[in-house]
Amino acid sequence: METLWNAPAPLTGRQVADALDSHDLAYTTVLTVLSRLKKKGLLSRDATARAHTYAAVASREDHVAVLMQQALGHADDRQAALQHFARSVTPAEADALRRALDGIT
Amino acid sequence: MLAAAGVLVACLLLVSLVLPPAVAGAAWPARAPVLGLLLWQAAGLAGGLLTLLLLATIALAPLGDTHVQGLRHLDRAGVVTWVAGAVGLLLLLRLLGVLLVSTWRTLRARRSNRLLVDLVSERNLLLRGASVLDHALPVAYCLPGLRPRLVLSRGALSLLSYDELRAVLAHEEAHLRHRHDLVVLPFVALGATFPALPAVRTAGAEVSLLIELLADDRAARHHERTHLARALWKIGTAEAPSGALGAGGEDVLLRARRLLDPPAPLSLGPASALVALAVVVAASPLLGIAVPLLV
Repeated sequence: METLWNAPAPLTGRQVADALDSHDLAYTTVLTVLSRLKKKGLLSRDATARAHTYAAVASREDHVAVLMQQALGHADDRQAALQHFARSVTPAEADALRRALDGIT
Repeated sequence: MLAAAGVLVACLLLVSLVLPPAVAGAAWPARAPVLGLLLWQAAGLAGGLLTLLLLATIALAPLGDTHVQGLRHLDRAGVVTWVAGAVGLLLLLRLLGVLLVSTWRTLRARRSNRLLVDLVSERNLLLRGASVLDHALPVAYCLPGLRPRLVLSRGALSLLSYDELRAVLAHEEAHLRHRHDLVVLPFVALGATFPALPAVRTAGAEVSLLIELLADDRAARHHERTHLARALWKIGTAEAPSGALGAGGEDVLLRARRLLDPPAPLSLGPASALVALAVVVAASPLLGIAVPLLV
């Protein structure tokens, strides 16, 4: 993923494998991983070229933004998917909390 | 059978109209969250079974003096039997269907969330392997499941002290270890089936508060209560984008106060009485079957 995020243009499987050279991965392994990531909707594939090229569908920042929106409760169908530590309080509740904490320290 | 229907209606009214506000308004659930959860589960189960059994009783009443007799003479079924039976069957199918669908949706949402978390976060081994998201707003949550994740944002890391972070992580780990998500799941399904019923809404809100209290208590075994309360305050008052404000804020205040001034746990007497109450509530549908046999 990192390689494709950093690449200026879509890459072929061969190019990704070359970029990952140091990791000592087989070309076929790279192809398998790429098609799996595509199946999960993280990559798009351009099949018009002779060798298929892959590109990231969204940037790292986009993915973080989606996760943060879910964590902050913007998506309603996620209520049971994750468990928050704490939600935001209203100003009045914040005052009450502040007073409670001041009583201790 | 008329007596059975009467008993079932009475039980249903007690479980759906009297019990929920009484339990939600009581002080004892904060002192014994486990018993609170037990009672809500008993009430949820009884509510569903009582409704189904009431419909079955109406359907079988014209056919015999007891449920068994009615079932034996199903060949004489008239309009009442058909209508009540069909409504009962549809309700049962809908309940089971919604439970399946909401379970599947939850699992799917969790899986896609975990995939993204693993893709864009970095594991912090000093913080119990928590996944750290590169974002300035503070959030802390966990993704339950067989391959659970603890998730923190960079904002949470910079906002909280090390002790506070460890207390927060202990709270989230308690959710994961005790599978609180499985406790919540049926109530989410119930809420999706009957979104308009006040009793169902009360139950859902109370159950999600009680699991937070449980996780707070777990975390407080090994961490200072004040650290957890301070973390609640820091994350709760961090600037949130509009729309998220105030959601669940009352719970945060209640939890912080409870952490700072912990109430004494329930003593054995009242605790046993509550367990007995939960058993009676869960077993109340049996009354409906027993009454025609006795009368």
